[in-house]
This record gives sequence, structure tokens and C-alpha cells, in this order.
Amino acid sequence: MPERKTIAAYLEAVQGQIRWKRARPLLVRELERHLEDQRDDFLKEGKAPDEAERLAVEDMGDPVTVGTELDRIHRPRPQWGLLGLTIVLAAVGVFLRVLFRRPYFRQDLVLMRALASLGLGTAAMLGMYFLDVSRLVRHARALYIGTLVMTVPLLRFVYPTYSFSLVSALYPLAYVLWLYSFRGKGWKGLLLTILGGMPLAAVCCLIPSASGLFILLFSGLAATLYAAGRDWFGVGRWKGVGAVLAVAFGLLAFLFLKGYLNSFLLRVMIALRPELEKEHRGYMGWALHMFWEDVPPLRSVGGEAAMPVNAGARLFGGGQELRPIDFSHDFLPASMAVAWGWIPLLVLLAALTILLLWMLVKGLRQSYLPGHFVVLAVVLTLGFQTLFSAALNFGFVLFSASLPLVVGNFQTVVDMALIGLALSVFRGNSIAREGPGRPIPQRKRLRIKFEYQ
Amino acid sequence: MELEKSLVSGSMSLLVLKLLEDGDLYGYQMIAELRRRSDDTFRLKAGTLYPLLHSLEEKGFVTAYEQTAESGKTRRYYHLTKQGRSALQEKETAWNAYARAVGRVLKGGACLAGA
Repeated sequence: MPERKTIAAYLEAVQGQIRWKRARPLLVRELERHLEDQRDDFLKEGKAPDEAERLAVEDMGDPVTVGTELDRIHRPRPQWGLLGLTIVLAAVGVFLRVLFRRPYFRQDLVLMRALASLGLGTAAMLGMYFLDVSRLVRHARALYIGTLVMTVPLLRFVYPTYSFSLVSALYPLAYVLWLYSFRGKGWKGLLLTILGGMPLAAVCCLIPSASGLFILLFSGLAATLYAAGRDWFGVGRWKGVGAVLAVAFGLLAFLFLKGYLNSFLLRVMIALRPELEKEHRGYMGWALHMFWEDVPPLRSVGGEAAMPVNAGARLFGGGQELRPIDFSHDFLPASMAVAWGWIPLLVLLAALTILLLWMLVKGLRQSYLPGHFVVLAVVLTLGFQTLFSAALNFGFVLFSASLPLVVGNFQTVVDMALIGLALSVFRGNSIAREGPGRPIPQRKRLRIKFEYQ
Repeated sequence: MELEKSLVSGSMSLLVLKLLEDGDLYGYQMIAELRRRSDDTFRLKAGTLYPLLHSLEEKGFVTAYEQTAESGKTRRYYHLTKQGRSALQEKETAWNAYARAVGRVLKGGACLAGA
């Protein structure tokens, strides 16, 4: 084999051995800098430029051996298990949406739309799965502003269901990207991070989307506490956490003084005891409580379900003009429990929880810190959606929420794209690198889990 | 003094982790520092060092970050993690035990020869 004597030829030979294209530039850049340093030192010793370059290359060792070794270490880590589980859950969602469709909807159309959502969702998930997350975090602020600017005009023209899905899914991620961009920026960075949440919250109030707002507030608070707990802003761990908590409590006090908190607490009380207002604001919750009383652990297939779709009116007999409950869409999980018993619903919720916990544990274990934030945003978004949907379906009616991957065609596509993004973090972890600056010190995993569970 | 390759390769991760114990370094600095500290005995090839560093990073013993040096060039510095510090302690203990055992055997052989 002819000896390679120039830096460019050497690097090309190394690159030829590395099969993962995305890893090549990063690995080659480090070797190139080393070769240049070595060549410059030989030049300082008085060597001629050609000789200095040749000696630097010879000093590095055999390019094929070096390339092969790097290829062995840097391989994409396929996430087939999590991809498969996501597709299976989304397919279950298709089945449920077709089975528990509104009676006046044509089955073939519902089936076609549900299958299209599964196909589009899978494509979106794979598209995001093959995305380089480091590029995403490199343009974090631009993406935050882009999300805000793009979604505001869309809200006027897009069907509300799509607006809710977009806002509740994308805003926590946009906020976390914004947060990421203020690493080591001190108190100013912390302040700007928190201020960045306000325009997003304002859009949620304008839609209005209560679930979008609460998902944003809860996930934003959790992500900011997580960042402050790792001294992301460089103001000190406990000072940062204290400041974030102070802002959160300050906001609560402001809402209380303005009277908003009182009306919210009244809503919570009605959600907890809907029978107090069963003919008005508590109707939905009370009706659900009534239905849940008849739900067995398991109902034999083919048995008569106690709650057909649009069955709410029968609760009050024919004398009262109360609007019927639409037991499709957000209440699809409850319909499923009424038809088959509560055990199948618990199994579905458990499967979703396992998927999200699996992603969270993997996300916090990997070494790439920006990846932590992306995974955290995705898991918190889908986690709160699951939690709110479960609460809604079990009769705690505070605001609408769709069960991820199960309810809503458009919602399924958005959820699958989000999961694909989180999985791309795991796939590319071996070449994911920190940006400039010293790494933030690692903390014990157990403490991180304890604080944010 | 030229050492046998197998003697060096087995202990190389220990040496690299030890170098990082005192502070963050980039690859070129590590090679120079290793030569200096070993009185020019360990001449580690860069082609051996970088795959080793990347495998240590995979194990979580070191993390890497980019920083612009005074020269204006961007360098990739390596930082010893807490996990890496524990691994270093274990490797040092194992190495010291091994070195003592080898020393005792060599010393014992010399005594017998002299008896």
C-alpha cells in the first residue's frame, strides 16, 4: 500500500474507514487539528514544510487502523424497540378511533383517515429520528422565535383541534430550546429564560387552550428547575433553584391577587366534587362518575356496553334539555373502558407510561446534555398529556386533553414526530458533543429523579 | 528506552486518566505531557490516543467539550468525570498490586540466584 504523506490524503483514508457519515466530520476535525499542531512543531524545529507534514502524518500511525478503531466505537444506535412500541401504540389508537367513532361517521372514511395518520405519523417519526439533534440545539433561539412566529398566524386559520395539538406539543419544546441557549449566561440568562415562556403562555391564553397552557407551565417549570439544579446558568445551584421557585410562587401570588386563582380553585373543586353542580358546570364530571360505577374490570366481548356514544342525555330522561356527552375523541379511553372494562384501559395507560419512563431514563443516562433537555421536553409534554387525559376520563374534568398516540389523527402525527425527535438523541449519542465551554458537573442520577418525580 | 508494546498498551487508559486528574487537556497536550512525565519513555501515537479517548468517553469516564485556546484555534478538551475518577482509583490500586507482585517475584529470583 503506498504511503500517504499529506494531511488531506491521511484524513481521507481515515474517513474511508468510518461508515457512519454523520460521525465523519467531527472525528476528522479533531485529527486534523492534531496533525496541524504536530506539523507546526516540526516547522518550528526547522523542518521543510513537506517534510514537516510527512513526519506529522507518520507520527499519527496507520490511517486504516485509526479509522477502523473509530468506526468500531462510533456507530448509530438503532432504537428499534422504542420505534416498534410507538408504532404498535399508534396502531392500537387507529383501531380504537375506528371502533369508537361517532355513529354518524362513515367507517371507511374514518378508517382511511386513521390509517393515513398512522402512515404520516410513522414518516414524521422516522424523519425526526434521522435528524441531527445537535443542529437543532445549535439554532435553538431561531427555532424558538420561528415556532412562535409560525404558530401565531396559524391560530387564526387553522381548525382549533389542530391548534391545540400544535401548541401543546411544540411550545414546551420551543421553551426548552430557548432555555438551552442561555447556558452560563448568569442571572440575565435565567431572567430571559423565564421571560421567554411568557409569549408562549400568552398565545395559549388567546386560543384559548387551558391544557396547552398547563402543559407549558408544568413542563416549563420542571425543565427550568432541572436546569437550575444542574447550575445551567452559572449562578449557583441552590440560588438558581430558589430563584425559579420564587418566580413560580410570585406568579401564583399575582394570579391570586388578581382573582384568577380563585376561579381556578373553584374549577378544581367542581372537578373533584362534580355532583355539587351536576346540572351545570359539573355535569360532565358527574355523568362520568355515574358511568364509571357500572364499569367492570373486564367485560366480555360482544356484551352490551352501558355507554353508547352520545348517550349523556338519557341520564336525565327526556324532560331536560341538557347537551349530550360526546363520548368519542377525548373521551375515547372512557368509551373503551365502558365497552371492555377498566383493565384494558389500565393496560393501555401502563404501556404509554412504560414508553415514556423508558425514554426518560434513557434520556437522563446519556452523556449528551442538550439531549437531556430535548428528551425532557418530549417526555414532559406527552407525560402531562397522558396524566390530564387519564384524569379527564376518570371523571376529573378540569380541561380537555387527548391521550397521546391514541386520540386524534393530527395529534397522533405530532406525537409520533416528537417521539422520533427524542429517539434521534439516543441514536446519535456516540457522536453528540457538547458545545463550547466546560461541561456542567454531573449529579447523582438518583437525586435528579427524586427531585422531579 | 524502548518498551515492549504490550507492556504499554495494557496500562494506557490508566495513564490517560491519570493525566486528566490534574486538569482538562486536549489530545496533543496529553501526548506531550506523557512524554515529559515519563522522561520520553512513553511516546504515544496520536492514532492510538484518540480511539482510546473516545472509548473512555463512551464508558462515561471522560467528557469532551470544545474551547478556543489562546492561539485562536478551537480545541477539544477532555474532562475527567466522577465515574472516571473512581475508575482511575481502581486501576491505580490494581496496577500497584500488580507492580508489587512483579517486583517481589523479580526480587525473589535475584535472592535465589545469590544464595
